Amino acid sequence: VLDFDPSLASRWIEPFGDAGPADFFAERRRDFAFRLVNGETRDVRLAEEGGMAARATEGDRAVLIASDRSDESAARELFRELARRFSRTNYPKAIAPSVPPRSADTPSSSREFEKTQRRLASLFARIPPLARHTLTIRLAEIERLVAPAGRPPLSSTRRLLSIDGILEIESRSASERRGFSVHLPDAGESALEEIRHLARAAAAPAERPIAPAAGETDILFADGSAAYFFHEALTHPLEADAISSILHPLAGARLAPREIEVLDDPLRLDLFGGYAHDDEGLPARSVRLLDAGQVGGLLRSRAEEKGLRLPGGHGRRTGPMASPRPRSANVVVSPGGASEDEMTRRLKDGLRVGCIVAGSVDPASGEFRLRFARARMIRRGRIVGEVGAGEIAGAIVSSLGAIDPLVGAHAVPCRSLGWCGRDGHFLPVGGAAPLLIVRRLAVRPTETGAGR
Amino acid sequence: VTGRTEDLVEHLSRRYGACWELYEKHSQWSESAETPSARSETIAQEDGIAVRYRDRQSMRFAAARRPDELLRLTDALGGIEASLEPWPALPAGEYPEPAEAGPAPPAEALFSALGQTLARESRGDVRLARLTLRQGLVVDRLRNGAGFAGGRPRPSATAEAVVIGARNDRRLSAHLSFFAGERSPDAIDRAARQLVDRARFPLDGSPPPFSRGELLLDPSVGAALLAAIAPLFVGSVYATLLSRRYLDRLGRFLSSATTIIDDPTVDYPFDGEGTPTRRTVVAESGVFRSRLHDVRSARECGEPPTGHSDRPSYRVPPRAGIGRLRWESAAPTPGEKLLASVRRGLYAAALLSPIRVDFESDRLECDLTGIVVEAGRGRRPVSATTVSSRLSDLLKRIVALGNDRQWFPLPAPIGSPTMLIERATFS
Repeated sequence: VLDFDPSLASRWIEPFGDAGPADFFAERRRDFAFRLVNGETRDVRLAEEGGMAARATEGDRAVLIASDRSDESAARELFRELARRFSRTNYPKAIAPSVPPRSADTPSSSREFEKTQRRLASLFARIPPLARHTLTIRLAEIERLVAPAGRPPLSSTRRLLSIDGILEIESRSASERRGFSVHLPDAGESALEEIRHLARAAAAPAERPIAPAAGETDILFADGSAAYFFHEALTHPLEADAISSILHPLAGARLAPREIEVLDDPLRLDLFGGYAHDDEGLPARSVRLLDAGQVGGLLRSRAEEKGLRLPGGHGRRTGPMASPRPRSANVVVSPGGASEDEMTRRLKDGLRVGCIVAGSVDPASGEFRLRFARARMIRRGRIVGEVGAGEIAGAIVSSLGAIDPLVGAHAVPCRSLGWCGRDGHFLPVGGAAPLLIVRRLAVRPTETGAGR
Repeated sequence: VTGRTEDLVEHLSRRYGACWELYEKHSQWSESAETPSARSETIAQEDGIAVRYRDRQSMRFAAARRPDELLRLTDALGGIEASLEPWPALPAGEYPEPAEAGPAPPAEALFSALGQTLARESRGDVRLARLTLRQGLVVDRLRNGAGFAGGRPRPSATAEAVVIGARNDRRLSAHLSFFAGERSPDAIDRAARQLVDRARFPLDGSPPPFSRGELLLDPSVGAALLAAIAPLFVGSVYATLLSRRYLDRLGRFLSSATTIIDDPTVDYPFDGEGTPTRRTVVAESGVFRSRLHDVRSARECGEPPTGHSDRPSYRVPPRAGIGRLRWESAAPTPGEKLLASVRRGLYAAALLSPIRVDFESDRLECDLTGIVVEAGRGRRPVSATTVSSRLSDLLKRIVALGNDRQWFPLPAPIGSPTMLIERATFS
């Protein structure tokens, strides 16, 4: 990640740690991407970027100085500028700018990219009855190093594979466009097998959908999509810097049935949002968001410490040019004991939603929205047909209270949760959840985005 | 190849002949975020270099921080099998880089000025929760195998405000992005009014009392509408669909009151591929005239490039995009007259979520908040309503445009005045 000894950065950041959170952060990132259009590979691109940042805090003021370089001379400049901003004198001496060293070649990665491209092209060519496809495939390799003041530097590497696009399915009556969005924390053999399984499911023949009826409907969240529901309804409002969040004053209040346990767990490295330590160098920590139905703790970064020694572990950055902010990682819902049949019968009448394609929440008003492209209609505990695109809306507090205590026996990953944007900053997030029923959510058909 | 760009240029010419294009981006920016209890500053400097080239008869793209790194990446891409594609005809020419314009002047005390105006306009119901100011300077330099060489400095200053509206025990947040370079008190008043509308109407209002009527769009909503429909006439993706579904026999896809123009010449002399920028009339009095193209989409459509190659980052290849797009009318009407002409309808003050369009199925949906207008006067706030329509119909029902155009960073500048749409459907 760096072209010099990271212990130097650790030494330079240390004096800044006496007034508040201070750290040094560096990243190197490779993004390999291409479009797969009906079996043809187009628009191949490879970008390598990196940089570093030094951050210090004093009272209510935080300063971050960032550069796209990774050499010692640039690092000294960062610390000198940081010291100048805080009127300090303990900055490292300037040295003559060094000639940038040649980066090490990484032929294994090149071969890895070729292999991933060939395998995915072949995989999508063999999915019946898939007639056409337009997909953007992106493989990101992210190496990071964090040196918090007073602690040893830590480093990590993550590989994130994202596939987004449209599958066109030919049937006897007509062709149908279906959205496909999958995000996996690996591009190995097991990841490709999972993609094959998800692509087959997405391309499976299905009845022509009708529009979902508008009104209050009970929803059975299937295929891990309950994680998407909690990501919007619970994790964003419990981020410590959420402005005027409706859930902040409700810590400890029982809002959901006792059977419901929800964690934000960065330590699940098999999910898209996992990490071993956060971007402030603190060990990753799972936080109980709903503990036996009670609202649990906030997701914090060190900025919210204010000298209170509150546990962090959720300080996340989009890169060296951005300050860490408290953000969620992986929403994990604890399983119960019910089978799929039991859950479908329990729902009785409503919709079985298997894939959420987009979501949003306003933590201040406590209102959230989830959009789906397709769902199954359930009547008297049986699947009776398919419905098309729609939107689910609800209020957080009443929706948590409307969760059914019977929960499915197996938590499965929600692979449509991927890059979550807040204030223009996109971070990888993931989740896993069992079947879950939420009663009386408002559903309305949407006439746009039937493909996604 | 060393870290020098000149060596890289020589190397690219040797290896790829004339089929290469080299782009360098130097950016320096600062961001200050202020809340009532904390403030943070970020100062950053970022350089990047990118090459688009034709190797083994297919187009490839690589981006890195330095020329030597870039060359290593082109080697890494060598083994990838990709579909064949001809190299686009890139422009030649020389544009000496003008002296670097400084970044836009700092917006001191904007937090307190906006906060005070909000408190005054809302009588204390709306407070400023966070204001983020970002200002900086980007310098792009471009060369290609056809002999183009040029540079363009681009200063910018934008702001994003987040406010919280409160009424009894209900609260909600609202956002607004605006150009922070405008120093006039009018600009702050206008931003404050828009933020107050966004935060207060959903709390104070009730559903609209009718399901059909006229729709008066605030300039911010009109700009968002133009941004949402832009993919129809930008690049090649929807070229066939536009002709097939949206144009009538006379080539009309908007009402005759409406013209759309893109003119980035005030911002930069050439686009992200070196094509000279120019004023392009997309639609004139409702009749479609020209698409906005980069060289690649122009070749795909068999049309000339229009100087609309966009490079939002050095990390991604250039693509067709908007420059400085605006609604225009041959006979603009003062805003008060537009309001007075509404018999029964809604004034759409703000969007509650992004506009959703499905070009294939010709549908548009948007969630709005605003005011009920009856007999030319605003009556009471509307909490939320969804406007749902065939997109092609809605565009032909724009009957008048105001003379009060404002510009919004979306993220390219989009200008819109108040707009009047007849026969809209609310739900």
